[in-house]
Amino acid sequence: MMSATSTQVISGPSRRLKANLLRLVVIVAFFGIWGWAQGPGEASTLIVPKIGDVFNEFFSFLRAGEVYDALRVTLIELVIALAIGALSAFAVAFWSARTDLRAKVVEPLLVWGYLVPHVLFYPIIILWLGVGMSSKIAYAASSAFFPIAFNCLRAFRSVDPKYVALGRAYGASPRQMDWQIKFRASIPLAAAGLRIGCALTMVTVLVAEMLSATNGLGYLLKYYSQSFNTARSYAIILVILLVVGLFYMLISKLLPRDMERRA
Amino acid sequence: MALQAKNLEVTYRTADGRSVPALTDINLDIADREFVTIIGPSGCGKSTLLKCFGGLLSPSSGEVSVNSEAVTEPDPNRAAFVFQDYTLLPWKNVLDNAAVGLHFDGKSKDECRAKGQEMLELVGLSEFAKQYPRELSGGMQQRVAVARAMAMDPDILLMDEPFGALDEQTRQKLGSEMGRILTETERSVVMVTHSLDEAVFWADRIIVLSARPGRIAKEIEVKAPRPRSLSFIGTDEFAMIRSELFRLLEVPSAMAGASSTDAAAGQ
Amino acid sequence: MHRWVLLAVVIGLLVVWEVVSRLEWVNPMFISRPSDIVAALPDVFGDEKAVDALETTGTSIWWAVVYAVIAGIIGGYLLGSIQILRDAFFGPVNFIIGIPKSIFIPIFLLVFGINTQAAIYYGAFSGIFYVMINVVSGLDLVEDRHMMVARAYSASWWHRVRDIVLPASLPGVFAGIWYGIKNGLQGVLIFELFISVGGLGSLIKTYTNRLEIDRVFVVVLGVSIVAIVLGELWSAIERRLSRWRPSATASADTAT
Repeated sequence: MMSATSTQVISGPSRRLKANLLRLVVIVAFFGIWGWAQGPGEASTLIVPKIGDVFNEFFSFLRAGEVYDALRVTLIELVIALAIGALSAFAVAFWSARTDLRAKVVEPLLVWGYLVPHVLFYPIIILWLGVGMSSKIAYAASSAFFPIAFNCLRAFRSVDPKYVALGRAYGASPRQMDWQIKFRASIPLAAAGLRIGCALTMVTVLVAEMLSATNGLGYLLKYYSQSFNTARSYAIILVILLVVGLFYMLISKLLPRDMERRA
Repeated sequence: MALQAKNLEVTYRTADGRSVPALTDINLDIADREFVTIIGPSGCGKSTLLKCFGGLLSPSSGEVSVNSEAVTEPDPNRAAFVFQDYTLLPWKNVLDNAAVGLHFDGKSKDECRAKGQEMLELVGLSEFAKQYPRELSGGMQQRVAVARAMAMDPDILLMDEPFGALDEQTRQKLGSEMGRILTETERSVVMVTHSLDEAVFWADRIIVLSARPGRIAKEIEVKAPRPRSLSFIGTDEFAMIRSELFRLLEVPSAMAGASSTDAAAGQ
Repeated sequence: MHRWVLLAVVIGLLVVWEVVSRLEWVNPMFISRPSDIVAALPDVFGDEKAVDALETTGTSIWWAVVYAVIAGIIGGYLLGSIQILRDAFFGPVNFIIGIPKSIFIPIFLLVFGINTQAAIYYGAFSGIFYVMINVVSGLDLVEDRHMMVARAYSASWWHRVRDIVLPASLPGVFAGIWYGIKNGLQGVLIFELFISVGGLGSLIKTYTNRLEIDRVFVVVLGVSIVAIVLGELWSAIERRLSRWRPSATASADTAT
C-alpha cells in the first residue's frame, strides 16, 4: 500500500488487549506443551517433571528452612559485593574524571576490564579465597566494578558545559561545583551504570555459587540438579526467578529511570 | 491541465472516534508551466494538500488527477517531491541520493550515475558527488534534494517549504541560484511556504488557505513575468500583494471575509 | 599522548606484579610472576590437551555466536517490525535478559546431555536475547521522514528494506552482535567451568587442581588478550562503517 489513507484510526486500548491476549496464548501453550510432554508425550520425568511435582516441591521448599538460609547467604554476598564494587567504582571514576589525561588513560583500561570474560578468573579467586562467601563477593565485586566505573566516568566527564559555566558565573567554589552541579548533573548516567552493575552482580553471584560454593541459592540448584532431583531443581529455578524479579523491582524503585527529575 | 483537484476533502479520525477535518472544499486547476505557491496559517493543511497532490495521502473524498489520470499513489515521474528538512539518506553519498528515485525505479547503475551527475551539475554540486550529506551545509543539501526531484523528469514539482529549514541569508542565496532552475523549467511547480516574500516572489498564482479546516480563502495572481530577479522585491506590485497577504494572514477577521468566490479575480 | 601513558601504566603494572611476586608477599603457590607465565607458554602450547581444549572452545564459541546472531537478528527484526509482537513480547524479553541465564544450565544438561553441543546451545541462549533487543533498538533508528522519501519515490518493499531499514538500523545490529559475542563467549566458558565437557574451562580446572598456576594464567590471560584485541578490532570496524553518521557513534547501548 503505497499511499496512506487519511482516515487513520489510532486505537490505544485494543492494542494492549491484543498484546495481553497473545501473551496469554503463549503461557497457555507453554503449560499445554509441558502437560502434554509428561502425559501422552511420555518424556522422562528426569527431564520434564510433572507440573504438579514442581509446584509441590516449590511449596514444601518454602516451608523448609533450607531455602531461607541459602537466600540469606546469596543476599549477603550480593549486597556486600555491590557495595564494594559500586563504591570503588565511584571513587575510581571520580578520581579519573578530574583531568583529561587520567580519564583518557583509565577509560580504555575500564573497557578492557569489561571486555574480558571475568568468569575465567574465578578458579584463581577460589584458590586464593576458598569456596566460602568471600570468593563470591570478590568475584562479583570485581565484575561489577568495570561497567559501573566506566559509566560513572562517562557521566562525570560529560557534564554539560552549560552547567559548569553557570556555576562559575555565580561564583561557586570548587567544592560547590563538585557536589551541587557536577554531581547532580551526572546522576542519570551514573544511575544507568549502577543499574547495569546491580544486574551483573546478581548474575555473577549466582554463577559463582553454581560453580563452586558451600551455600547459597546457586549452590542449592547445582546440588539438586546433580542429585537428579529434577522437580526440586525446577522449583529452585522458580524461587530464584522470584528473587530476581523482586530484586529488580527494588532496583527500579531505588534507581528509577527518571532520576534526574526527582534528584 | 497539469493538475486538477476536485472537491477535495481530508478528514482525520482520532482515537476517540471524532472526525477532524483538515481540508475541505478544495477545487484547484493548475496549468502546465504554472508556478503556484500555497500559503496559510500554521496547521491549515498546506502540507496535507501537497501530499494529496503527490499521492502520498488519499483524500477522504474528492479526487486529484494529473493529465486527466487519477492520482492514487505516488509516481515520481509524474510528480516529484522536495521535502522540508531535505531528508537526504545519510548513508548514501550525494550522487546516490540525487539518483535515488531512478534507483528505486530499477534503472541500471550506469543510468543512475549518469543522470545523477547531470542533475548535480544542474544545481552546481558536481564536485560534491562523493561526499556524504552530513558534510554538506543545509543549503547544499536542499539543492541535492531538488536534484533528486528533477532527476525524475517530473511533470510537476511538489515542494514542501523547501527553504523552511534555512536561515534568511542562505535562503536568499539559494533563491537566486535556484531561480534559474525553477523558473526555466517546463514543469508546473507547487510550492508550500510560510514565508510571505517567497510566496509572492516565485508565484504566478498564490493560493491562500484559511485556518483549519483549510479551504481556499483567496487566489492572487502575480502578473510580473518570470524569471524574476531579486529587484522584483522592490516593486509596487510585490509590495501590494505582500501587504494583501499580510492582511489576510495576520489579521484574524480578514480571512473570514475572503471567500473562494474572490478567487481568480486577481486582486 | 595518552596512549603512551596508557602503555606505561600497563607496563608499570606488569613490573609491579613481577616485583611483588618475587618478594613473595603472597604465597608463590597461588600466584605467578609474569616472567614465569611467559616461560609457561611453550608448555601450554605443547600440551596436546591444551591445544584440543582451545580448538573445542573456539569452535563452540563460534557456533554459539553464529546461532545467537542469526536467530537474534531474525527474531529482532520480527519483534521490532510487527507491532503486536513488539507490544506483547518486548517487555518479557527485557526481563529475560536480566535473569541470570546460568540457572538454566541444568535444563540444558538434561535436554542435550553432557557434551559440547549443550555448551554451544547454552552459549547461543546466553547471547540471543542481547542481539534481539539491540536489533529492536536499531529499528527505532529508522526515521519516518526517510520512509516518506521511499514512499514518495515509489520504492518497492525490497528497496525500502535494503535502502532505508537496513542501513538505518545497522548500528543496532552492530551493538547486538557485539553483546551477542560477549555473552555467547561467556556462556560457553561458564558451561565448560560448570561441567567437564572439554574446552578451556575444563583445562583451567585441571591446571588449577594440579596447582600449575603458571599455566592457568597463560590460558586466562591468553583468552583475555584475545578478547581485548577482538573488542578493539570490532570498535575500529564499527567506526569505519559509521563514517556517514552525523553524530559521533550513536550506538544503541541497550544491554550488557
